[in-house]
Amino acid sequence: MRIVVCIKQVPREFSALTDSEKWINREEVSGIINPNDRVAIKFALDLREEGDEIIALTMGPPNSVDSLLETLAMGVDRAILLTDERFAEADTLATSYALHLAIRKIGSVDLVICGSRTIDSETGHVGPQLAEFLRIPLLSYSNSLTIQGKAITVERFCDRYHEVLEAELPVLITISHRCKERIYPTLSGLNAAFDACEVTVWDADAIDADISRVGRKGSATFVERILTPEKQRVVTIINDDKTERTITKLFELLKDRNILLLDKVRSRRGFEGFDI
Amino acid sequence: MHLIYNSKQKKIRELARDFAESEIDNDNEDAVINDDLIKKLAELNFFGIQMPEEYGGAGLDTVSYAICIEELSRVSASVGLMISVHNSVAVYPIYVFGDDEQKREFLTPLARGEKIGSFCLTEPNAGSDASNIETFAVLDGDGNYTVNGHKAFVTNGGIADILLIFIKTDLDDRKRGMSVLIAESDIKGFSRGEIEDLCGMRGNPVCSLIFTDAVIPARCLLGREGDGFRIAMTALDAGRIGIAAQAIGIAQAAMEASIKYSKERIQFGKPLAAQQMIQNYIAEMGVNIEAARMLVFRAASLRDNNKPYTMYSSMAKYYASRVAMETTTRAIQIHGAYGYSKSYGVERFFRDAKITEIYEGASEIQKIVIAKSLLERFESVDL
Repeated sequence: MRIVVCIKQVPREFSALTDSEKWINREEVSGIINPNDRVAIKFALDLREEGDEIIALTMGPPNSVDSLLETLAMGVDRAILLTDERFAEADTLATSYALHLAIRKIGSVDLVICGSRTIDSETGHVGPQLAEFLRIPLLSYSNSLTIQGKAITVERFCDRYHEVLEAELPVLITISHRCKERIYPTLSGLNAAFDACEVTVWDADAIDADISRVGRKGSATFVERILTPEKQRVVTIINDDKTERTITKLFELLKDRNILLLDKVRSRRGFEGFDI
Repeated sequence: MHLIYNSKQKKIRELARDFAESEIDNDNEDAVINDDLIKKLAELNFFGIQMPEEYGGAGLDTVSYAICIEELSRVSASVGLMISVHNSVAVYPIYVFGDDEQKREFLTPLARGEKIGSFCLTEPNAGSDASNIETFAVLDGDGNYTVNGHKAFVTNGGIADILLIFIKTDLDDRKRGMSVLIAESDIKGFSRGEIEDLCGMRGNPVCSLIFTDAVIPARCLLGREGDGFRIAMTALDAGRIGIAAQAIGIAQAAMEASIKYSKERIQFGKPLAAQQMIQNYIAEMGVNIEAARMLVFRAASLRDNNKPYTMYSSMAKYYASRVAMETTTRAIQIHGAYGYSKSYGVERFFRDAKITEIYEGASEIQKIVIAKSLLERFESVDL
């Protein structure tokens, strides 16, 4: 089985906006693998059986090679970077277009795994659009999966429902943002990857891209402005004579903000709880 | 001289930071080190950071080693201490001075983290004056040493499986009479004292180790008889880089806590961070930490390039530990009475910082080393 995991290198810090506040200067800030994509890598590695090949794929500036080397340190077999000035300022549509051409070029891919969203843009578009370009089924927000022969079974939780989906490979799955499993490269893995491993680099010509469909030219949307949300903290002091009335008011305030509470809250000291 | 971390070193920092922040549980300071954490640290090669892969290590350079110790210590100085001592003064001397059989028997399980190492030099009457140790070993006709003595304040002592024991084989010769034996902790005649009730580093099982007619085979002699002082100094040269990195990790944590708190705490109608006096403190913390980090980088780079680095590792340790004390003291000052209470955790940084001025060569000893190097020959900057 050949598995492609799509990853994105995202900024570690979000304070590094350009003067124009339109895009994040990805060359300047130190990058990490998008946390949800790390889980995607773990899913792929957990699935691996003898003879399988796992390929990490990303599109980004040249320094994205560091994140790809990290995937090799985790145990991925091959890493491919799509980088070209013509890819710059791509939205999710142009990104998905380029990624699908790369996956076509890789060939014979049984499973594509993506994170469901990235911490720097949160659109959640790339996985579904990529499935559409590849004309393969999309199983989104997966919590777990099993594969038997050509059949894949995925479990997911959506709107409080537990769903079990089945499909035939090849498919594309996105990993639920609720999956928080951790995966680390080893120190020796990092040492070997950075000293001895290579990342395959493809530009627009290598994947036979139609230049009008990549980068800014190929984007259907553009970013007007990016702003860092301002933190606003407001203190509300509830000071009633009776403790019970104070707590009731507190619960009312929480309910107004749509905060769900358990039916009964008990003090840790074991006193009688308060009904809500 | 390059003063930029390369991509690999940056990734190593990211790994060590993410691991420390996610896997180290500081809720109970005294119980931060447990089997589960040791297993996870071992899986990622933290017990053999610089050892070649053939021994199960990661084969990294000293700069990367310092980065690992700094990041672990930023979250828990006790964990940073366990890893620093294990790597630099337990594993490294066996790698340098051990024969093939000793490397196979002791080095591989240590580098893989299957066994924990300790460095047993300090005694009740021998601290900075290391040659004054009284633990004595006599070689008998069957090829065994019989060891008697008492080692004090042994880092990792409570969990150590493999011990590097500094002994006197000749009581008349202060320096050349010192030797080192490697022993497993299951030998007859060996016992551990109570875990020390220390001011800081409370997560590390520091304790006394007692040898009463303990029998250790002569094949476990590290190097030759009389090599002990040289082995100690070689180990401590490297160890000081680790302790300096540890001090920087503690200082960094104290600075980060201070920055966070100074943005939240409102006094005189504005956050502490907007008060010039606090900005002065924060600026000094940042400059001092970065300067200390550069000294560690310098000492580590020299070591990686096989250049003499003794003076630089002493400079790094002396300066970084001083910075750790200054920064953690200021951090409490910025936090006020909350800093002095246990509620914000900054008092832990303060308690942990103090020992970095004492162990692996007290600041006074570092200054003797530095002054001696400078006075013996004029040290010009490497161009």
